[in-house]
Amino acid sequence: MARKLRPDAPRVVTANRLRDGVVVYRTAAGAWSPALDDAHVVASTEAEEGLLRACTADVADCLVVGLDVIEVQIDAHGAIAPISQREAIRAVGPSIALPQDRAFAPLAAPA
Amino acid sequence: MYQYDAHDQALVDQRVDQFRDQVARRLSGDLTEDQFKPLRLMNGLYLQLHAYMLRVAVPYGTLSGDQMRVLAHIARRYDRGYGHFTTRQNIQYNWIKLEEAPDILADMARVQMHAIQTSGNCIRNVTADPWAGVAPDEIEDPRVTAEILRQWSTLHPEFSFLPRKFKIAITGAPNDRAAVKVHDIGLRMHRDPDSGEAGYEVIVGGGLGRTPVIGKTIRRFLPKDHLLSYLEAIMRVYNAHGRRDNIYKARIKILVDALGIDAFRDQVEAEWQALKDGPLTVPAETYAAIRARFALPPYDEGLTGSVSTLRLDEAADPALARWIRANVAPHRVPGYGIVNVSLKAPGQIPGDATASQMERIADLADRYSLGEVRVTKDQNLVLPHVRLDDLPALWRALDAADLASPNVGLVSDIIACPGLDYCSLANARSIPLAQALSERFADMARAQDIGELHINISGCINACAHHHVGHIGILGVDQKGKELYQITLGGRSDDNATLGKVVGPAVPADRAVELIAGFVDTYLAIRHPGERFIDTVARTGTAPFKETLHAAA
Repeated sequence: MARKLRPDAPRVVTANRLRDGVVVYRTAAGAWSPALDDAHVVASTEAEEGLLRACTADVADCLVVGLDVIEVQIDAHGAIAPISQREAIRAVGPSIALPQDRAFAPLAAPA
Repeated sequence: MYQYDAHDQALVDQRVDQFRDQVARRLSGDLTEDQFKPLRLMNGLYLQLHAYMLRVAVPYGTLSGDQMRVLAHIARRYDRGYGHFTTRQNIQYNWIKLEEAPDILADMARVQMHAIQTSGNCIRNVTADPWAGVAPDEIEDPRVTAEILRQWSTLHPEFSFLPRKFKIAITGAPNDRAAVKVHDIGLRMHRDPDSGEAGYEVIVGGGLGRTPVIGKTIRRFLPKDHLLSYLEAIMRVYNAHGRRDNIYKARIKILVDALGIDAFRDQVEAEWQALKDGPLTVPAETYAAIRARFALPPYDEGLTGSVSTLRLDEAADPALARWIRANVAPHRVPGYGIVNVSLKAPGQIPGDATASQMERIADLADRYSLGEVRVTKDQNLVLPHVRLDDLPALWRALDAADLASPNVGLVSDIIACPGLDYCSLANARSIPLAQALSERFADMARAQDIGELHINISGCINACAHHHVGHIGILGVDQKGKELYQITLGGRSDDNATLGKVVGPAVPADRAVELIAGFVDTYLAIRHPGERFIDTVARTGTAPFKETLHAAA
């Protein structure tokens, strides 16, 4: 659940989609998006509490699980980025190239 | 190989049905997450950073070719085309959907596999020597005991809610390849010097994680028929007195340390007197019946020779010779070898295998290894029954699938947990550092000159990569938002199990690579003839290596 954030820090609500575990962010329209840039950013404890209250129905309705509030920063172009490395990796996926499954030529017949 | 009987099969089939119902009730809202979480964990299903993660048990690390094909199928059908072999001889899938998890369990049940007790505060998958049954130094195949323990501990009603998780490892050989001294209970087979009977040294209270401890011998020799009653006594003392008020002090090692091994032994002995010679006594015929299911496969007769006496044509095929030297171990049957398959190609993610690689291993197991595969605690695979004259053909086939790195037990055979790239507990990434180090030591000829050297990298204090017992151990830490790595030297998990000593402050990843390269150079400069890295550190202590640290600063 939510950690203590700086009172005026920009923040968003995140969770995992229950049925498949996908990382999602709460949007201003009250939906859940896998894209962090779609997230509704608030910047006060009061706004955060309101946002969380609005999300609790979706937890009860089994849409999402693991509700959390994370601190973010917004660059000059409006792009949202998490402050912590953990959330940065969570937002974009592993920092490494994932193994690519490629087919091999069939085994030669035994000599 | 062991084959399920009707009871085993009914149990896993019923579990699939139960979990299917539980998932349906969770998705419909009949179960809350608080209600559901312990149920999914009992089936190895975690919620990690990016998705659900499923941990599948590979009992004592033994798989058939058909089982490996199903693991490949799961990777391709339900995940992203790969899986991750772990330091507890299991496999994990990182991108699982909750709604598909029951189908995965059903697919596994069809080949006698499951994910039961791969999580939770219960007795976990029992691990064993990956060369069990075929190692020349072995007294008896430890998988017979491991299977008895599996049957005893599976859904054991008294031990399903222990103070904390509980891990057991067993080796049937005097040379420990199962790290028995760093498990909650370690079993090492010995022969009674008087009767010649095989039995167990019982080691208790070992473990890594936040509080690393080398286990202590609680009983020097335990006859096999008393195994279950004695372990039940240990478990009862732990279950009664292990701490439940503090998760960090709940493992049996803390209890053993608090009581002292002698007082703990006294309590176990008192408990055992009430259990000894009772229903938990393993009848000789039961032991024999299970042993029969691990009967050695039908080897070709009339073969001779051993890999240790094999004449390698270095000039004709240096790469093959290098691979045989590093990856093929002597077998107890003349004319055969134990082939260790590295999942540690330079730059590869340690322990990861693609679906196609798993299928290739399964096919090669069927063709060259009598249908059998093993998983090792070092995140590699083993083809345990390979004819020596098949080695060139096998090597070529492995090489075509990027599975022929000649580095087993060498500096680039790095053990690493998933770290912060996947794990919700991690503080730092493990995989990128492992990749950087394996690329730094990608020269296999030099790696063989360096010799045996184990590097273990954990992304947090939970120590899933066993960094405390790495010859070079690396612990990832988060210091005020900075990803740093603390290095230890001199750890080992073999017969002379030792915890590594910290050398210097934690450093960034690029500096860690340079320091470790410097440690290796120091070793090469000061080693005595025939001395492995760990032998040199044991002889000199860390002082010469610390000089490297200062020189590089």
